[in-house]
Amino acid sequence: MTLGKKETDIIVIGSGVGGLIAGLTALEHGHEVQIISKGKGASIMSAGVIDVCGYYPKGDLCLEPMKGIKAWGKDSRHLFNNLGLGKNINAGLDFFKKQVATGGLSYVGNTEKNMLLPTILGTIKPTCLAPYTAADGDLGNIEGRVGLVGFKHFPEFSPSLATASLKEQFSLTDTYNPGKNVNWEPITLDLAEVSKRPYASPMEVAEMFDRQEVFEILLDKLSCLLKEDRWDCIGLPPVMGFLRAEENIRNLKSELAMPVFELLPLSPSIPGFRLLHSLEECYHLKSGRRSEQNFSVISLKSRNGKIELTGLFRGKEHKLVANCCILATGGYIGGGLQPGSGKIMVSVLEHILEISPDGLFQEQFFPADGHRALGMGLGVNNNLQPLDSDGGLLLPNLFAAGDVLGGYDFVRELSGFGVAIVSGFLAGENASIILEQGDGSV
Amino acid sequence: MAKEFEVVVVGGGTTGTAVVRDLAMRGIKNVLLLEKEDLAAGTSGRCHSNLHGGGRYIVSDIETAKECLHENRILRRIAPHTIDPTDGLYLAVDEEGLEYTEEFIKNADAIGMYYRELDPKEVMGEEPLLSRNVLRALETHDAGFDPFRLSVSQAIDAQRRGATIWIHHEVTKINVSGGKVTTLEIRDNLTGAEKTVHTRFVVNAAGPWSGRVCATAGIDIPMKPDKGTCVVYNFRLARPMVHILRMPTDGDALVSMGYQSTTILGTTSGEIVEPDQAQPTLAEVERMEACIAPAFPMIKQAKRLRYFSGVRPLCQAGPATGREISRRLILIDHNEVHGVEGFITITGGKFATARLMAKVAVDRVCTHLGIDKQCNTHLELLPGAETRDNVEKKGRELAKKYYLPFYATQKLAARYGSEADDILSQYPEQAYIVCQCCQVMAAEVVHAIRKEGACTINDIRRRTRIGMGTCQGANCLPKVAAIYQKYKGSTPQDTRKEMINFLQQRWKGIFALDIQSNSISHAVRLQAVYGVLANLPELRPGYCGKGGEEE
Repeated sequence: MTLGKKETDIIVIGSGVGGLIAGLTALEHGHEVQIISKGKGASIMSAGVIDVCGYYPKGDLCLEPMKGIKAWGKDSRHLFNNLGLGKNINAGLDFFKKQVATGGLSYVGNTEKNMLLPTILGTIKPTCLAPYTAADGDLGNIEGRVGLVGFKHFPEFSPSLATASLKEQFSLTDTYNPGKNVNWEPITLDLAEVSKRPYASPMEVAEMFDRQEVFEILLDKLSCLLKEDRWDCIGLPPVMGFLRAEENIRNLKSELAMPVFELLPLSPSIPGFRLLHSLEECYHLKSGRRSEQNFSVISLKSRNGKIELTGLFRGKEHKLVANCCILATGGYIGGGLQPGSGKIMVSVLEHILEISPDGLFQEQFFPADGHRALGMGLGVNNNLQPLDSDGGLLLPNLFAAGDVLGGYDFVRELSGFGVAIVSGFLAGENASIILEQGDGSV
Repeated sequence: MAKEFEVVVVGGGTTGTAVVRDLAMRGIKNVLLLEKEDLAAGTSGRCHSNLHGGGRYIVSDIETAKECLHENRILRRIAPHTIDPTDGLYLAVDEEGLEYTEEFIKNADAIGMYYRELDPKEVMGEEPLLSRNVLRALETHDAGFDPFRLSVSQAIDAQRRGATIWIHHEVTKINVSGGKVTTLEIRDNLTGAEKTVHTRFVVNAAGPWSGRVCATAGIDIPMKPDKGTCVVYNFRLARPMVHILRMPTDGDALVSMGYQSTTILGTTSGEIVEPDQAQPTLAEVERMEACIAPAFPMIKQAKRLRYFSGVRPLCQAGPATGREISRRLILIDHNEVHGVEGFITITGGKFATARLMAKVAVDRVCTHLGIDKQCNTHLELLPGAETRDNVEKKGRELAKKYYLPFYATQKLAARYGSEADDILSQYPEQAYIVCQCCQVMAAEVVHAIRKEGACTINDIRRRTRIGMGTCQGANCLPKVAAIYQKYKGSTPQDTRKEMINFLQQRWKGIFALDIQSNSISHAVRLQAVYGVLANLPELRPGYCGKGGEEE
């Protein structure tokens, strides 16, 4: 596969959720977009749900994400202010829902109220948008006798331990006890395809369920089970297929005539893969291209009012030129923020972030006020244009989105993909406007 | 009714477990080993994992070299399953090294220590990360080893011979009456329960905490706990253990862990600290890297995974610094020195000489108790001891029988020796790999809980090495916790709290490591997996709180 054109309207560096949404937004405006990246990044590790705001600054659970955003936004330095506080969220999330739908996945949820979804460990996670495959697990809606189904020789999920854990979870709030009336029960099915070897990995099982014949056997076994006994809902581990998961869950719901859901994953995450895959598919359908994942940017410069990138692609040096560039290179895991020589460097820009003398992390694994490192990143203005230490623009025609940004803490807030999507959407919009105005102003 | 034991041993490191094994082998079976945390959780588990064969001290301290040489040979015979299948490599990389090499060879010949001169060009060819300036190279019988497996093996042997082992039990007071030891007061650190035992004799093998144990009997001894720091790298820098030929200094040796893809650089000395307050520092790491750089010029680019400190139980009255105090073993008979009968402290020494220290201690116990029995610990094999030749064959058999990767089964056979078959046959449903980074099987985790006395997830870690590789628990911890929950019967909440204890312990060795390492992305990954994906409720400060708007 060749690199494509050398000169284009907008280049997005980074093909995680932030970069893909930024690119798709610019495409929507009718511009030519090229998405390049060094590797896979951290997005694939996600649980496949979109967190907007799951906890308040004091650590209490947040059930209304808009309120949560306001609470964090009280600190004027918080990134939520640059994102317009609540203003742009619905636009960004609605855009996201349309893109993943084009790519073959449905997402549900809204910013009025968080869903509370059970994980494969039997813990509970607040989130704003969830894929169709997980949505029926919302503890706010679940009731009756719920069977959590595991498979013989699939030790990655233990239904008995998950049910024990969910039963033990005390009320999450004084007045709100979601899942209180749920009767959790473990079920173990022996599917020959899964149990033929002593151990099946999540990837292997997901591949199996992409096959019609294996799905039919599962459906058959579950149907028999439901004839014998009364069940109100079925929960499954998050391995119900790579490409056919949504179809499988839809069929199960219809054939079994009850809610059916996947639990949220840990690592590896098949739903995380599905999310990225659907965004890539959407990009492909709309542009005819795919993101170029072997391009390592060596330098980024402003030249004649455009942005010139030099990079290594398959061992050779290439130059790319664009009118605008969106940096969505990620945080520490994705490689957008890199340690070196006692400082943190923003990749590609070679911009240095100063570290507080108190260090990057605290000794306590999960301190109440969060780790400094997680709040660090590129500073931007309200247009998502990166700023230097004096508050001036680092480069004209440059925007940034996603975890490369500073001023927020996705662990403490549970806000990761929400920030990626809204900032990607805004960066894509703003880059498009610059092009449309043609004079560099936004 | 308080229990009564003939002898109580305090301290469950290599020395204490060797003592209780020796006692049991000499027929004194009604013995109790008390360990405040876990076997080898103290100094023994924080060593360089470097089983000296004498090479390090051959020029600077030939008496210690002789002891190490002698003990190394014994350990290779009785505990081959705890020793790595690699040898030592000593390199001269400059003029000073060449002179030193001559001294080395002269002394080695004098005491009969094995060495073989290798062709530097061949050595450099086999080890691509080595300096291109290797002038001379000697192969020796130093080896890497697993201090946890050695201590556990000794403890299990002692148990099978009738000894009692209580881990997570701490001595709070040694009662003395009429100039004799009478009872010990003990606290169970996991439950808080308090117990009392009667005994005739106490052997204090508590390492750098020996001073604290003596203090509970109102005795003061001149301990000089000396800190030694090591840093772990995220890949294997060389196949054998590598030393530089020169007078012992900081950062002399790189030990690549047996059957693992990590390497330990160690160690430092010279700082006297309270044993519970030993903190590794970046300055030490940088110093060690500067010292090993002549042999490994690329060390600065190597990715540091974590670092840790151990504390040596040096003991001597006087102002000498750590390296000058001899590491010779020291036996303090408190009857002779403090008028307290039935109480001895055994301290000092090297890891390699723990068995010898135990012999010295137990000889004294026997004299006191009027028992005339010889020490045979050098003759009897430890449980699981298996020669290296059988290991490969067994590995292949197990790989075929259980559909497992050969690397993992060979490692299992090497580490558990003759017990490897039993582990898999007893838990065939757990014949799968639960920790990918270190290729640990779920069956080993069950075995650690059921047969090796593991009470916490950290205890499981020491016995099996789960979470000690690249991911530091990001991938394997939930699965290990599930096994823990099932076989310990703990509540889901207690299991999550145990997971957090484990993570906190791992975090200590990562969080302050210089950002010039890989540790930032590992650290963030741990936060993401447990704080975001798993969203463990016990991590959140507001957990079980109101869940509404806070003002």
